[in-house]
Formats: sequence, C-alpha cells, structure tokens
Amino acid sequence: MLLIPCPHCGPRIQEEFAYERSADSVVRLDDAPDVAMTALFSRANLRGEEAEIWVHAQGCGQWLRLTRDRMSHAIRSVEPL
Amino acid sequence: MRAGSGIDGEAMRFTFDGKAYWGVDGDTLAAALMANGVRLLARSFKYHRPRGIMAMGVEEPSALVTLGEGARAEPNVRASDVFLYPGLVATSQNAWPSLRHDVGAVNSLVSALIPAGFYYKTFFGPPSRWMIYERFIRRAAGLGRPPQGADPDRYGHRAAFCDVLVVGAGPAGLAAALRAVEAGRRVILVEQDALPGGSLLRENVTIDGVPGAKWAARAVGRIRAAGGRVLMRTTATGHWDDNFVTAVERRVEPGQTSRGLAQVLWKLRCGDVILASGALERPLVFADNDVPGIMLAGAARALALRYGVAPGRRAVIATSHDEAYRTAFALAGLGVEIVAILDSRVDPQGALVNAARARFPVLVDARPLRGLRRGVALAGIDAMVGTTRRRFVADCLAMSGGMSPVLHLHRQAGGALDYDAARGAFLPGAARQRQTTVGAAAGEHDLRAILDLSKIDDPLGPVAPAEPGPIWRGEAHGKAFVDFQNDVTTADLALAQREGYVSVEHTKRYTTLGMGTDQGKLGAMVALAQIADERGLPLPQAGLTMFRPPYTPVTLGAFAGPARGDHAAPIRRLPLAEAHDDLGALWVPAGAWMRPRAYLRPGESLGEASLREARMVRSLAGVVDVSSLAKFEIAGPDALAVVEAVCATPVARLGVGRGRYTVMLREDGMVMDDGTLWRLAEDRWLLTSSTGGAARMARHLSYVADILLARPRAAVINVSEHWAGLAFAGPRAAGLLAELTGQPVPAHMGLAQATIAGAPVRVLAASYSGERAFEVHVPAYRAAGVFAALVGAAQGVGGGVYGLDAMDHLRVEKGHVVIGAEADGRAIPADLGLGGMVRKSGGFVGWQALTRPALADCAERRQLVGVTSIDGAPIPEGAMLVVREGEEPVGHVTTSAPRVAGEGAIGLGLLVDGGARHGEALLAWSPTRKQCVSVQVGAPLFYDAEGARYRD
Amino acid sequence: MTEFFVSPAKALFALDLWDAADIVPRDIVLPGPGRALLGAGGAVLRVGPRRWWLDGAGLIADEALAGRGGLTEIGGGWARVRLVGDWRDLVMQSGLFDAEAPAFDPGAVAVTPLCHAPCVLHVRAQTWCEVFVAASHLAHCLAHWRELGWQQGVGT
Repeated sequence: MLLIPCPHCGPRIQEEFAYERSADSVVRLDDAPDVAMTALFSRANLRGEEAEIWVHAQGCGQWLRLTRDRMSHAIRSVEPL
Repeated sequence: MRAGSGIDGEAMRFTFDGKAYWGVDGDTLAAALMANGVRLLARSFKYHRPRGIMAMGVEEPSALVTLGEGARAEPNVRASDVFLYPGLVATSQNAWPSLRHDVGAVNSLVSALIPAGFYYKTFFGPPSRWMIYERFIRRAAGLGRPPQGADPDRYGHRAAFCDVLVVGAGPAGLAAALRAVEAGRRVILVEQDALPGGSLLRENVTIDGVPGAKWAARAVGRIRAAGGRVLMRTTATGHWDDNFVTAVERRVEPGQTSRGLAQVLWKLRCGDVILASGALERPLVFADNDVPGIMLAGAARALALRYGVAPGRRAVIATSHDEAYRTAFALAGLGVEIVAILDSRVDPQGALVNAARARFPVLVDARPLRGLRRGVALAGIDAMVGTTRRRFVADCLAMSGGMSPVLHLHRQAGGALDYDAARGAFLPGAARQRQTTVGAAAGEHDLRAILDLSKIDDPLGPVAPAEPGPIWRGEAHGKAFVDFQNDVTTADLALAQREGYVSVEHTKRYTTLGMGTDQGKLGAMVALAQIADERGLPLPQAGLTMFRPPYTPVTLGAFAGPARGDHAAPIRRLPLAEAHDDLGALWVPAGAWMRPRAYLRPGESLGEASLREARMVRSLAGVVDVSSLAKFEIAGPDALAVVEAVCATPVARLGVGRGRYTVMLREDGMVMDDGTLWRLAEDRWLLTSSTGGAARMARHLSYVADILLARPRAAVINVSEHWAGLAFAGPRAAGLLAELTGQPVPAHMGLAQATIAGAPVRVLAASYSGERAFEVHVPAYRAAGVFAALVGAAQGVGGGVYGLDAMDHLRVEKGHVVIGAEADGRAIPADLGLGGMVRKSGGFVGWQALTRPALADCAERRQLVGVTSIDGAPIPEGAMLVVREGEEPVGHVTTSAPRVAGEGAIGLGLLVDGGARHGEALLAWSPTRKQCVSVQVGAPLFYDAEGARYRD
Repeated sequence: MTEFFVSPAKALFALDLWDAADIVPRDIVLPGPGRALLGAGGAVLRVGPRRWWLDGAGLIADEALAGRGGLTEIGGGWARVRLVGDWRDLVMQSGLFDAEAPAFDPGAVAVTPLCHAPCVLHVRAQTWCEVFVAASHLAHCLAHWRELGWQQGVGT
C-alpha cells in the first residue's frame, strides 16, 4: 500500500516494486563461507528503522536502498543503487 | 403531497414482501415504507424481536432487507441506505412464516436460556458435532440468504490520484473541497449519500440566501466546474498506508439492473486527506428500547425535513443534550403532537431550550425507563421524571444520547483518539498520516464556524456544543439493547464482566458486541461507558476495539472487479497459439501460460496421444513449442562476470558459437533453475532457463549485476518473448533441418544462424528428449512460417507435433530434472547428480553454502534415483517411497511416466542415500489415492545410457 | 471514439549504455527519464536508468555507440496498441498509474503494468497514446478493454 518514490520514475505504487532483502543481508560473491552464512541466516531484523533493498521490478528495473520504519511503514529515504 | 429537501415528487412503485407501495424519487426504502405506514421492517438476529427504523443512514442496525431477486438479490441491505427505483423489490429476512407472525420470536421467551456465550457453553465436543449444531443455529439466528446464482452484475476498478481527498459532502466537507479546488489543487470529494449536504438535508437552515440542500448542490457544481471530481454514492471504506484510500461507488442501487458497471472500486492515492465524515447519534439505554417507533432523534428529523414523512402522530423526545430539541420543532412542523421532551439534564439552558419550553412540555431530569409495545408497534413509554414514574402515550420516541464523531478512517490511518469529557466523546487526536478531520467528525457542530464566510440563517440558532448527560444508566430492567444488530443487551455486557471477560476485546468476542455488519456503529460508546462503569474506570481507560476496514460492508464482486471468469488471473498466450489450435491442441495451464499438452486424434485418450507423440520423436521427428522458456541476453565487456556469477558450472572457456547445460543456485546452495548457456559473441551470451522460473531468474540476474557486481559494463536483456522457440527432435530431425535451411546443421551443443521459410533463425543444437535435437529460435512475429515449415517437414516423414506430456515422458526416460519436480528447492546439485559439473573455484552465487558440512556430506540427503515398476503398473506421482506400508517414507516419487522405448512404467524420485541403493525394491505408496506399487530403484537413466543418439 | 489498433512492434531495439544513466553521451541525442524523442525514423523512449527503446530500424548505428553500449532486438516480444479516445480513463481502469497527471503529456513515457501485463506507455497526443504490451498478455488485455467498451479499429 506504500507509495514509493522511484528515483527514475517518480512515485509509484508498492505493487510495482519487489522487496529483495534487508541491506545487511547481502551475500557478496567473495565473502568467506562463515561470513556469507551469517549474513544469510542471522539477520538483525530490527524493530523500527532499517535499510532495505527493493527493486522497481514492474517498472524501470531500478534497484533502491530504502530506509523504512518497519513499525509505521514510513519511508525516510530512497536512494538508487 | 410530501415536501422535503431530498425528494422531488416523481412517483414510483415498489414492493415489500410482495405488497406494492408507492414512493417518490429521492426516497430511501426506509422513508418510503414509513410514508406508507409500514413500521415493522425486520426481525432481530437472535431473539427475532420486531424491529423498525432506528437510524436514517448507513449506521442503521436492524432494518436489514434483501433487495432484488434471483442471482441479483443482495441480502442485508440497510433500508435507509437504498434509494428507491422503479420496480424495486424488497424482502424481509430472518422471519418465518411472516414478518408479523414470526415463529422464531419464541427465542425471546426463552432468552434467559440463551445468554451471551450460550454457544460456547452449550455446544461442546469435537468439530464434527459442530457441523450438526450449526445447521440449526444458522436457521434460527441469522441474516439474509446469499444469492445462489452467479452474480450477473459487472464491477470495475478505477485508480485516481489527487492532491486532496475530502470524505463527506456535508457542510464541512463541501467547504474544505471548495477551498482546495479554488486554490488550484486536484480535488476528489466522495459522499456515500445520493445527495450532497449531509446534516443540511435534515435542518431548516438558509445559507447565502438559499436552503441548505440547494446551497450544497450548488457547491458541488462549483467544485466540478473548477475541475474537482465529485463522486456521489461513494463510500470511503478503507484508509491505508501512505494515504491510500479505497472507496466503493454504487452506480446502481442494490438489486437494480445495470447496463454498465454496477459498482466501481476506487483506489485513491491522495496527497492530503480531509475527513468530514460527520457524527453518529447514540441511542439511549432503557428497557425495550428497540420497539418499532423508537428511533434516533436525527432519524426522526431527517424523516420530517428530508422526506416529509411524520414518524408518528404523538411523539416523545428523549435526550441528553440540545440537538434533539430541533427534532421537536421539525416534527411539530408536520403536525405531530409533541407529548413531552424528556431531558436527562437537571438544568438545561440556552436559546434553543427556552424556545422549546415556550411551545412544548419540557421535562428535566427525565429519562425513559421502558418502551411499551402493543402488537409490534410502540404504544408509549414509562419514564422517570425526577423521582416520579410517569407513563406517556406515544407512537414515536425520538431519542438522542449525544453524538459520536465518525473516526473510523482516522483510526484506520493510524491516528490517535482523545477523549473529550465535556462532549462525552472521542475526538480525533494526532494523525499519523497527512490527514485532518473537520466538522462534526472533529466535534464541531456550529455551522457558523464551519462555513466561516457564508451568511447563515438558522431560526433555531446555533446548537451549543453537545454536553450530554450520562451516556448510560444501569437502571434498566428488561432488555436494554446496546448492539441492536446482534441483540446484545446491558445484561450481556454485565454477564461478560462477571464471568471474567473483562477487557473490551474479550467482551466483544464473548457477547458478539460490534461484530455485526454494522460493526456496532450505534452502540459502541454506550457499551464502553457501561464496561468502564462496571470496572470502575474512567471511560477512556476501558479501551477501544480496533477500527478495521471496511467502514461499511463491501460486495465481494467489487474487490474482484474485472478479475472473474476467464480473467480471474492473467493468461499468457503463446505466439503460435492459433497454429496450435488449428492442429487440435489440448491446452494446459503452466503457470500463467497456456501450453499444448497433446494433440489428440479422434478416439485417442490423453495418455495414448502423449505416448504416440513421444514414440514418434524416438523413431522419426517431432516439433514442440518451447517459446515460453526464459531467455536472456547478457551483453557488454563485463558480460562474462555476470554469467560466471550466476552459473555454477564452468563457463569462461566456452567458445563463441558453443553452448552447454548449466545450473543456477540460490545463496543457500539449492538449485534455483537450470538451462543452457550459449556464447553468441565474445561479449554476448544467451541464457535459457525454465518457464516457471522466468520472473525469478530475471530478477536474480538483475540483482547479481546491479547489486553484487555493482553495475558492470554489461546489460541483461530479457528476450524471452522476443524469440519463439521450437524444439525439433528425432532421428530424422538433422536431415530435415539441413534440407530446410540449405546448410549443414550445427554439431551437438553448437549454434548456427540460418534461414527457414525466409525468416532468420538461430539453431541451437541441444537435446532434451535424448534424440538428436535442435532448438530453432525465431522472432515471434515471424514464427508462424517457421513452425509450418518444421511441422510440414516432420509430417512429411510420418512425424509431427508433440505436446508437454510427451516431452515429459521423453525427459524422464533420460533422467533430466525439472525445476519444481526434482529440483524442488531442497536439492543441491550433488543431490541431482550434477555435483561434478559445479565449478570448484567458487565465485558463483551459492558457492559458500555448498561448503557447509550438512551439504558437503551427502549420505543423509535425498538423491535423485530412477524407479521402475516391477509389475508394470503405473507409479503414482508424488507417492512416498517406503520399505513397508505405513512406515516413515525414505523418499518420494517426483515424476512418473510410461516407458517410451519399450513397455512398462518408470519414474524419477528423491531417495535418502539413493546413490547407494540401486537395485533395492521399495514401495511407491500413496495412502490418499489408495495405491501401492512395487518399484525397483536404479540409476535415473532408462534409455541410451551411452548418449549415442543425441550426439552428431 | 474509443478504439484500439493493434500491430506487432517489429523493429524495436533495446539500447543499453554500460555507464551510469546520468552520463549520457553528448554525440547521441537521447531523451531523459520518463520522456521520448520523435524523429523521422521513429521514436526513442527512455525506459530505464540505463536503457532506451529504439522504435524503428537504424535509429542509432552500432558504430555510433563505439563500444559504450549495445543494441538488442526485442520487437518479437511486444505488441503495439494505439489507444484512440479517452485513453487516460482506460489506463486508470487497468492499472494504478497516474495517467491523469498534467505532466503526463505528449512525449511522456511510463513503464507500468496494465491488467497485470508489462506495458510501456508513450503519450503521442492528448487524444491518443501508444501502449507496448508484452505479446503473451495481449489477448488478456484486449479482452479486458473490450469489456470496458473499447473496440478494435480497422488497421494499425
């Protein structure tokens, strides 16, 4: 139900976007196995504000870093990735 | 001839319970029935008590009727929320044999035996017993019956964006919308009523020299002229995150035949939301406060001033504040005798009270104790005046227990509530979204304050802010209803407290308070006041239940909108769909796609056709449409890096013009997808993957490129739909293709450009069937000619087209895995026999996970095996693999198929430590299908083990 | 008049520039976000941060890119639908995109789903709009639009 300001397209409805993961759970290709598994399976899952990765999947394909309060859903910032 | 602010005199005929009546344009069904002297409209939910009109809007709890007939019948419509149309057919509910003589009313006599929580206490036992009880309970207590046929109406969805959404076209909403539209903002105004004006429709006021209703109509005209959108008969039912508001527009009335859309669900994206949703009047609590003839004072006033209907001949007004006094003047204007005004306050003051004292008997410190019934109608009331008990003969009681602002949307949007002790009401507190509340919804009842620039002439003067007396009193003996729709009384609430259901949420569930279709709009505050009293708490601390969407009930059809029938979900069609139809394709859904399953000949079963098609490929040549496979081109100087990161197999040394099989993993090491990778040029690759995983693979590729590789100098282009794909397989395929293209065919896993039927094509020599085979890729808009040429060539040697089932039979025989069957999201490459293909150097998504001990040591894991039916019986797909029936499964059958080369039945399965169990006999056991087949475990390869047939 | 005209997109190419979208080469004239440029040979549409669509053959030669990007043919995957009439209303009954925004004027481009189908909208005039619909979804979209009272016109 959110309206997400896509840096390329402007505000678009949430349904056009796909949530990828929290920004702290990206597994880099050159991460050591233990680092990679920690990032994948042991997440902070913060109450409150957290940086997340989204993609404008049904639109321009832009990847976003979106800082969102996970209690109120309020979006604080959106940056292109 | 009636006169009112909302009717224009054009007569129309309608029926209620089969009897014909006349009403006028602008009437609600409730008003028209009252005008015809019909006061009994319904039987109550639980006790089957006679009920009439209580309210004049969407808050009406009891007067629920069924509108329309047959499949178009709409149950549980509030009689006050349906506007008359010619031929309207209304039917009463929950009464048998008739509304007047309802057998179910016996429930009222035994009501002491069915208190709150009755069902919980009585119907113990296993769920199966409930199924029996339920049949009787449903018959005894209930609402209208749902229509049995498919809904003949059509429903639409419509998006709209605005700077300002105003909810409610009463004076406050109109003023707010006018201000916004005149400031140049994009404005949408929604109003659930058929007329604008809100409270103005039930008041005798003049604004800027014209009657209130006319002023409102002109205001709407001004808003529209300035570019605003005004949606009448539209209810904002949900207020979601980011000021997303859903509203339902009724284009026709319930039960009315429509030529276009019956209803439209508006999805409103709003910069600011202004809630001018007004206030609802509260009932008074006394015994038998539900007798037909007892109604809210505002409803009585609306009947008189909007519809020109007198709600009775002798009326008593019972109130706890000023506003109901206006009702006395309104009714007196129609010649109704005002028997008394009972004011629960000890010393009411003010111009309005004084004006009333001059005309009517005003009694203070006075309140009703009991409604008196003769037959099914009000005969009078017993009241307490000071310390004296008095009886008043009256056929109408107009009551008012103060006003409750409508704050549903404010709460849905996350706004806080503040309790205002002086007004005895919750008012909107801090909003969480860009949203404000104005007018009566914010506790402001003074027209002069709401319309600050307009000249207002109100003969009764401004109403002082409502300072009601007590919201409830605990002196009622007998049934004093709090929730009229669900027949919840003060006694039920007290019982819930006594039995420990203390919190308001528990009370609600125990008594069903507020759980009807009206969500307790009328009685919520009264109930809260009682709960607070019994717990000895101030009212705001008694707690509130959630305000959940929708504000008023929404027809399911409105949510479905155009997504019904064939279009309940999107359907994707192949570019060659028509050609397949011409060949007699039997279609099967594969995800969103429709794909040919087989091409049946006359008299052939599906199984026979598929086996024939598969054998045709083994012996001659066949064509299958694989256009729905995902295809991506990866191009650019850094394209190799993208491909290496995605594919778990070695890719770097693949030469231009060559391809190979590959698998892609998830980060947890499980197989995500598989396909073939082709090097089109030094820095351009083609990756194919499964149909079902296409969207996932598109996103994965994009993620790997943009996030993991931080935007390499490469692009991933989804060309899935650009290329139609036709697999051409069989021992005759190579020769036929060479003839068609006039050039040598590429070697196995080689790639060539060619021309077929004048169209440029790519020929990829890859085999899925186990026979020498080629995938011919052609731009979709040129596919028809190429398909015809390939099918023609195959048919020329006795071959032809084959479908999905034949393709599956062929691949099972070769042990090729399918994403979703064998690669079910729990399998790593080694489980599927693909471990040897995985790049040892890592550097691809998922490599880290494969080093985990649990995955690296595979003995305990389920591994891919082949299973052969020992007696030739078909193997049930999905069956458990067990040693003995009833034992824990050691694996399962993922796919089963008939043998193509030879007879019998085979299958693929996943079996614990399967690689070490070849030769073992197990049972494929499916208790749900009552099937059990003995199978022998072996290698997942049943045909051409050396691979001689597909190589060139 | 509310009519749609359908034809295959045919000569349609994706142009990808390897470098960040904000570094548009000076020697190639390309439209900015959400816009299209119309030329004699066809239209160039901006469809993503690093992607343009060339609607027409030979609009930009591979040589002109000089290794800074690549061209990929994609026309087989898209149908071209011309909506003539109150297309804004149709779009807003089919999706959740603000086609009524004043800024969504001739020359504007939007990538957004309509009827759950991937679509690219190119506003050509107040009275007509070109919509590229993913070819496999075309029949589904057209069926929905017919239900909304639109009719298929003769021609393209």
